[in-house]
Amino acid sequence: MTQTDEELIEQSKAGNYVAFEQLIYRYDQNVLNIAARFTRSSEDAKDIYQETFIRVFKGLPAFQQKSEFSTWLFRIATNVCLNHIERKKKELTVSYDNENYGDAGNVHASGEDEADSQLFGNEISTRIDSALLKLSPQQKLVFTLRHYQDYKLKDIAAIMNCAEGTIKKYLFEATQKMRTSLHDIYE
Amino acid sequence: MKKEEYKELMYLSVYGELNKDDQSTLDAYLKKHPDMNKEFQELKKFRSFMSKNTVPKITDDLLSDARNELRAVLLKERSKVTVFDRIKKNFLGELMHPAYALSGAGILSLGIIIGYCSFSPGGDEGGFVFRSVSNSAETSAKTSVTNIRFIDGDASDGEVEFEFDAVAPMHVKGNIDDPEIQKLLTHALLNESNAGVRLSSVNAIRSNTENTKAVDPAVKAALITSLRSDVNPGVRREALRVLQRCAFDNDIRDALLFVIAKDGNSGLRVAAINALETAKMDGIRFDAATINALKNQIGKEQNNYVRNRTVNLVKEIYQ
Repeated sequence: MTQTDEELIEQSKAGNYVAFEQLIYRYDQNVLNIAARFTRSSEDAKDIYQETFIRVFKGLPAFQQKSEFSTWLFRIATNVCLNHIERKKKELTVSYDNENYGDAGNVHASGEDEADSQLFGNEISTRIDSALLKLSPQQKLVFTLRHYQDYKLKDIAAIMNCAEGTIKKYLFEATQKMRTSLHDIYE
Repeated sequence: MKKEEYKELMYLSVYGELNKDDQSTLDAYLKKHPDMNKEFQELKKFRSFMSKNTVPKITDDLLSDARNELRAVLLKERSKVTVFDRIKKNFLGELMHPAYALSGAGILSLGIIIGYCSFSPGGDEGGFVFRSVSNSAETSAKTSVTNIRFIDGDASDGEVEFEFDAVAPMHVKGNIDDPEIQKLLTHALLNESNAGVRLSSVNAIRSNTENTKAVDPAVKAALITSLRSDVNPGVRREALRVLQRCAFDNDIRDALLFVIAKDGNSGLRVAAINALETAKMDGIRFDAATINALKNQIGKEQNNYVRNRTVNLVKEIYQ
């Protein structure tokens, strides 16, 4: 019989690593999808995936199940995504436009492997990539979660621990910016 | 309602987040305002464009890589959890009630004094702390001491303080049905770096499944994990053999399909096909998704023999 998240959490807290794997394998594909869509780079996506689950592993003993495990997990994942962008921003030596976060989100660097180009690459994708780079990390994350993962606004609000109004604001601003950037190809 | 509020309704409508009443309000407004209606149509076009140009889902290979790398990292993380941490959490945590703590401390002090008086070699040089560490090192000759970390390395006051990881071999003998034994075996199967030990663990688990199809879910999950991701084909092969003895279910079916699609060892792919054939003969029915997965694999399989076996399996399923 399939065990509930709560049962697996309790077993994981008691040191049962198999239960921990069972628990995270229920959601890890989604986490990797979010990370891949957010970074548009498989290597960066794997980094985010790994850091997310290390945080989950370390934080699980203190997790009191006041929220759904999935909400808690995706909240960690989105925080890691945002931190990842910040870290990338520090690493990059090129100058960037502060208002648009410039190349900070350009983690799909020119040297990415062939698999990435197969996964993400075609002319339209490249244009979408460029448009996404003009969004702030928060706008980009909300846009990614809504468009690619099909999360409802209230779920995104729970995941990002923000008011729904704030999420709407990010989404509307992101949509407007994306429309402006892609105006010539979608009309 | 202001124009900006109608704009918000437009966005919510496009994203499918508007209730019926608000949708009616918006529709009525758009009928009266062609400029806003044009804007709304453009917004819908954009949403449709983005839906059509979504990036494909991540591949199984990427997920598999990510899982394997994560496991290696978590293995290191887990090794950082010391024996003391576990004792502290599982044992001391329960006993840290003030009353227990006080009486416990009293008994402990008494024990230390008695022990010290009884077994002290007589010399006065060195403090008790030093001697206790030294003694424990002497009495546990097989204990390996690693990762020494200095807390106070300045010996000018005559004392140094440090901590280290002490790993001592333990001897365990018990019934194969004992949950603790099974826990150890699954732990070894998933975490031991020596492939021979992992193989022995599967063999031990295997002997426990000789007469029963009911296997502990945790053991089964460990076997599936091993089948899907162990780097050693021998271990994967044994894990598959044991899983064949378990009651066939969707988890096992998915693991077998994963092997057929992803395992680099053709022998294992054939073994997985055989396992599905056996399940078919045992009366298991396969759904359309399974058949499709096998059909897809026919086109991708490079090995002629494995491809023919897959074709035959699909034919058998249809019969």
